[in-house]
Amino acid sequence: MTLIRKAVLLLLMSVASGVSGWAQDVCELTLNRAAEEFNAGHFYVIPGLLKECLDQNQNQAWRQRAYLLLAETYLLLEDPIGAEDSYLKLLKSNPEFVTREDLDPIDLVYLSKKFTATPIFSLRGHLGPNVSPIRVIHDVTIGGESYSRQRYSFRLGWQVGAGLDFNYSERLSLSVEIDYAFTTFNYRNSNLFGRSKDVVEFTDRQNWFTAPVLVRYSGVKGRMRPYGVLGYSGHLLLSDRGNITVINRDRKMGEEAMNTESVESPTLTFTHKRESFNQSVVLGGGFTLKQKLNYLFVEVRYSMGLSNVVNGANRYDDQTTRWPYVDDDFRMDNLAISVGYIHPFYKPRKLKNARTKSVLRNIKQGAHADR
Amino acid sequence: MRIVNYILFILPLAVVVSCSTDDDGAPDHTQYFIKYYGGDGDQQGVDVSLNADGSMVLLGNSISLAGVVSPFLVKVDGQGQILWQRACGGDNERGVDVELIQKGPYAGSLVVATNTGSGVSSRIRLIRVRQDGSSIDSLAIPSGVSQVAKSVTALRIGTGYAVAGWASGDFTPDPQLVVPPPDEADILSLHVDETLTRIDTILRQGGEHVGSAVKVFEAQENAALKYMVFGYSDRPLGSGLTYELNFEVIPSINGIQYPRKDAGTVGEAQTAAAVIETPVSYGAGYLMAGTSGNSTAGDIYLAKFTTNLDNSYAQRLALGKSLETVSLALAAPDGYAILANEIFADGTRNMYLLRIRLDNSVLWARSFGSSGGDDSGGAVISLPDGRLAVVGTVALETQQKMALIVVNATGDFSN
Repeated sequence: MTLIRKAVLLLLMSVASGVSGWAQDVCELTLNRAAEEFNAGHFYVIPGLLKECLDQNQNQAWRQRAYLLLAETYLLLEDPIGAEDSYLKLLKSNPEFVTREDLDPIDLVYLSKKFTATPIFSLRGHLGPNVSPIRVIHDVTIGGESYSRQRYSFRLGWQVGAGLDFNYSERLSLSVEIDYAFTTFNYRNSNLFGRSKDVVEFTDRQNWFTAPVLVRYSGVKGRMRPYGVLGYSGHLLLSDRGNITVINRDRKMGEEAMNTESVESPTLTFTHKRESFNQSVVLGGGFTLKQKLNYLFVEVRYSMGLSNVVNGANRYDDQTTRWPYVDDDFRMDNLAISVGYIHPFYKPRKLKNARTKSVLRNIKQGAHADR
Repeated sequence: MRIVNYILFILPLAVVVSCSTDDDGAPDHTQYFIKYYGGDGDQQGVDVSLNADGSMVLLGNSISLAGVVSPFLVKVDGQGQILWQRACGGDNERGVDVELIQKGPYAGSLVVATNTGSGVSSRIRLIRVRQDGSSIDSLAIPSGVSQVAKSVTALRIGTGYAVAGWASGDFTPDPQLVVPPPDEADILSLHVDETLTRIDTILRQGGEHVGSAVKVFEAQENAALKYMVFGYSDRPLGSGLTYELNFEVIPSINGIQYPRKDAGTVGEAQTAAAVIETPVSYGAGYLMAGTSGNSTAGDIYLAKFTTNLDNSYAQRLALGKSLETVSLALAAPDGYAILANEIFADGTRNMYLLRIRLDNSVLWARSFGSSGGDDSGGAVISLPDGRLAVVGTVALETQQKMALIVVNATGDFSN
């Protein structure tokens, strides 16, 4: 029984695809015939010829060719409304269609300058790794030593986010993002207590919501398009936790051997010792790679922290009297590499101010070969 | 392009405005801080002496890995940074008090009181140290019985030093003691001259089975120098026969002991820990601070004496905690700072800093220390700008360290 069902299903699918393919072939023939009629100067029959196939919602390439033919037809029939309507539908079929002055009729090029399909908004998503350079504002010591022999080092964090681009023009856009970032760094102080000096290590881990507002300047030609970003970012700290490791190195009087004891703290909360809101200036760049109508991108972004991350009022607490670590005042930068995806929302539309001056200029200069 | 121009204008402006907010005024961490001091082994904080230039000399004890105890001095600047640190004294010796010498050829230097040995071999030692940390000289006070110092006073009216503490044994048993308990400690006060060669007994009081002097003050009485020895004793109050600890002050002029004045609450044991002179604006006299209670639960206990040593009041501060009072300081403009140890059920302690008004009402209290760690106070002083400095011992995870905690007038670490 099951076998029979499968066989029937396969048969139906074959029939359906056959019907569809047959319809496609018919419309292809129809379009070719319409082109022949166009070349023969029989313009009035063309809209009627194509109507049935257009109503059947053909594939994108077919529709592009059909509406292009219709637009040219209406121009020759001196029906500007029909021409504009056809060109608008052409852009809906292929938002990235552009006329070429060296190939297309000048009246079609002129018509095309009245339209655009550039996206007003684009949606983007990204993820990638980051590191957080620390810039110390004040060196705060927990020991009485006048300075810390301290070092901050990188640890690998990550970020993920999404954003909305407002495309002011093809080159210039304004992006607003909401990102989630995990940042982390290491601290080591080796100038604490005694001749042998104890070592204190601190690993800090933060979770942030960040909201960058970025101005983006992009190249517009080629499959791979470079761009640069500049902007401001607000950072909301969700949590901050860390671990402190103390390596107590003592030497007995008159003995060379050193007693070394290493103890690591449980995970301690540092959220209350940090400012909840931080801000940074963002500078970056990358390139987009066109994938059909969407884009892949790779971006390097450096966020330069503007404010002290540490809440000085809560610098000292019970933890301080258990673990010999105290925060410096510091600004936290972030270097992030992200890969992402951009989905533009193309919007074919007629321009309020048509960009036809250059076409007219070319016509006057005779640069365009009217066919 | 107007929007873009606006954004390009606003962004740099935001950067400038944001960057300018970090460094306004002196950073808080240079005024209010916790800092730890010490070397190999453990170090405990005991006392602090403030210099006119804002620097401080901290006295503590260092316990080596082999368990040998010796006094440890650290001089720090006003921001708590080490100017010098050194061991001071010998093995099995504990520092208890450091004072600035304000008179005589060694004015500006420091005198440190220590206890050497332990048990029956315990003796008192005075060590003089210059402000650069170098030693001047020292004197181990000879004695046939064990003696323990609790403080040293660098005299300003007289010359030399007055030591307060206790001695074992009762060289003049009190006839009132019908069934005397074992005689453990008697109030002791000694005078050591400026050359550290001559020792005179200001006071040695018997008649108690537990007692100790905690501080000696001096005053001019006609042409004579009057010592006032503050401490505690379990001699019965008034004509009673109940042996119970209470605060005492005993005047002594030219070696003659005058009748004691006491303060206490019947039914409770009061042990004095610190005494300060109070200025006229506070009501001229002396304020004693100590602990009232038993070995497992105590309250801060205060007793005020006039310059004539009349008791103005004696009051227990019931704060609902088990406290042992450690130190006391004037806190301008209208009260006192009290340092105590809060004792928990597991025997561990935290430092407990209390600011009270002149009517002894509590203005604020702060606890310093970690759960499970034995953190204890040594001394509190008031800095000229109203900040409070606490010296104590913190039990870090791997070691004990001497701590200097400086907070603002409200006990916080920021303006």
